[in-house]
Amino acid sequence: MPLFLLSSIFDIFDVSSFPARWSCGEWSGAQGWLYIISNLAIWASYFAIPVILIYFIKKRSDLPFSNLIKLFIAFILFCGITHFNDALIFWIPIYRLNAWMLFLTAIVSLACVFQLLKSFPKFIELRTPDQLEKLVVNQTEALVRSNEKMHAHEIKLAQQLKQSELLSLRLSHQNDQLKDFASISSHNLRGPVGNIQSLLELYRLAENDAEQHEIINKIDGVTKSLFDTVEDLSKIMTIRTEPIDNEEELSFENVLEKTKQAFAADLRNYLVEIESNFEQPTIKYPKVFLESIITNLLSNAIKYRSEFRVLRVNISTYTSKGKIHLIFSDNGSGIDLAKHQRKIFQLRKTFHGNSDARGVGLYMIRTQIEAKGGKITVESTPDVGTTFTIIF
Amino acid sequence: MDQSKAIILIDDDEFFHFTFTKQLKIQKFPHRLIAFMNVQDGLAFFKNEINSYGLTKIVTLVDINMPVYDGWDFLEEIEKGLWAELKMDKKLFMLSSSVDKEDINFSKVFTSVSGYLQKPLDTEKVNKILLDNEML
Repeated sequence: MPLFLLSSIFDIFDVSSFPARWSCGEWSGAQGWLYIISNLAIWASYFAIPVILIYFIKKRSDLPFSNLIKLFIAFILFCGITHFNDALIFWIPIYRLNAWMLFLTAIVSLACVFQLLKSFPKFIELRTPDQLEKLVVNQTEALVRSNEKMHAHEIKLAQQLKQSELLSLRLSHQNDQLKDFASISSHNLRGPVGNIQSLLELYRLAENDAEQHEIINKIDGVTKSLFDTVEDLSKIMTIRTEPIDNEEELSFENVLEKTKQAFAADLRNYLVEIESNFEQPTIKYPKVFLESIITNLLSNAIKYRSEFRVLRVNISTYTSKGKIHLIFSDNGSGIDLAKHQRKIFQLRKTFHGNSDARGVGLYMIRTQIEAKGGKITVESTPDVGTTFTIIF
Repeated sequence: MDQSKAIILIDDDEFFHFTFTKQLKIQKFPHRLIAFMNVQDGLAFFKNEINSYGLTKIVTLVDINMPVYDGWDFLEEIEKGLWAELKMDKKLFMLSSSVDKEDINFSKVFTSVSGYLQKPLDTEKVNKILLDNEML
């Protein structure tokens, strides 16, 4: 056998010991040509398939199983050659050559089978377009869900941020208030107490009864002003301890009427004209705060009315951009804001030589308005009047 | 009474005016006391009158916490040239019952300020101020 194989390698092109197929057996022309043409057609097809496959591979570099495809190309080329030989044998009996070609074809075919079996699990895993589409849809849905989840988290975070902002606003408020109290005790309590100390020393050093009497009178005066300060402080404290969440539906008209009654004597004596236009008739607000705001603004207007004309007060409300505005204007003596803007809402800053100006009212309403997250601003012209704008 | 030296007091507190005047009297203060109840009057004096007084030395005491215009407003105003133009020997002290460090530190911002005097003043403190500034 090996000897036969060895010798057949050397004479593969030897055709002498066979007849051409046309002369082997009895072929009718039609049968022979059917055999030849079919073989040639198979050969042509088998050579066309690799060309198409190669073109395909080149176009789709991401194609899986490229090794298998290459093997398949070799397999089909070899098959093609054997069919071509089979046709050629009708004229040239290249049986020996064909035996070797069949042998090589067999090897390539077996390799193909082996490779196919090896790739089999991967074929199973391979997804159809339908499956792929379903996968994409599923993953898209999952993405949408996680997106929604993230959005919900975002909203929650934004809420927490807002809450902590509110908290920090409240804290900075309380801090401001503490500073205010430090300033009150520093300026307004230490002052009169220091005066009493000095007066007591002078009393001890006094040379006669008349002088002592004079000093006692002064001590009396300081004590009164000290009492006023303590009174103001306790008033502020009462307002401060009022819970700021204690809101109720209030009518501006009612609150104004109530305030007018409290100031009835002043309003009558000074012939004060009050005009109101409550385009926004009600507000949800702590009652004590709103009453304190209207009371302080009105008392302010009366205190600082002009000597030269009858006091006219105009109060109006409206809603703009979802916020309630209150405009309170008068034709009083006004304030030089260029100088005093930074101090007007501060504690115990007064801007008139007026003896009953104690600088508490505006400070107090500012604290209340800001505690509720609102804002108060002022515009004023000396000898023309003052307008307060509150945005609740 | 030596009319060429003066203490100028600007303070809205009438009780302080009373005690300070008494304390000066007890110390037998031999010079002028020129006193104002508010910043506007004090400024008007510095702008229009001071040069006609023939003063060779002044010690100015300015309260910080006053209504309308406060002690800081006064400093801002006089430091626009008014203070530097004064020919006489001059000192300026801020007065306050405040123990607020911010007030004390802020007074150092102004070049015209020589120091900060803490209220209340007793006769001993007044004596020291007068001695330190050669006003006795």
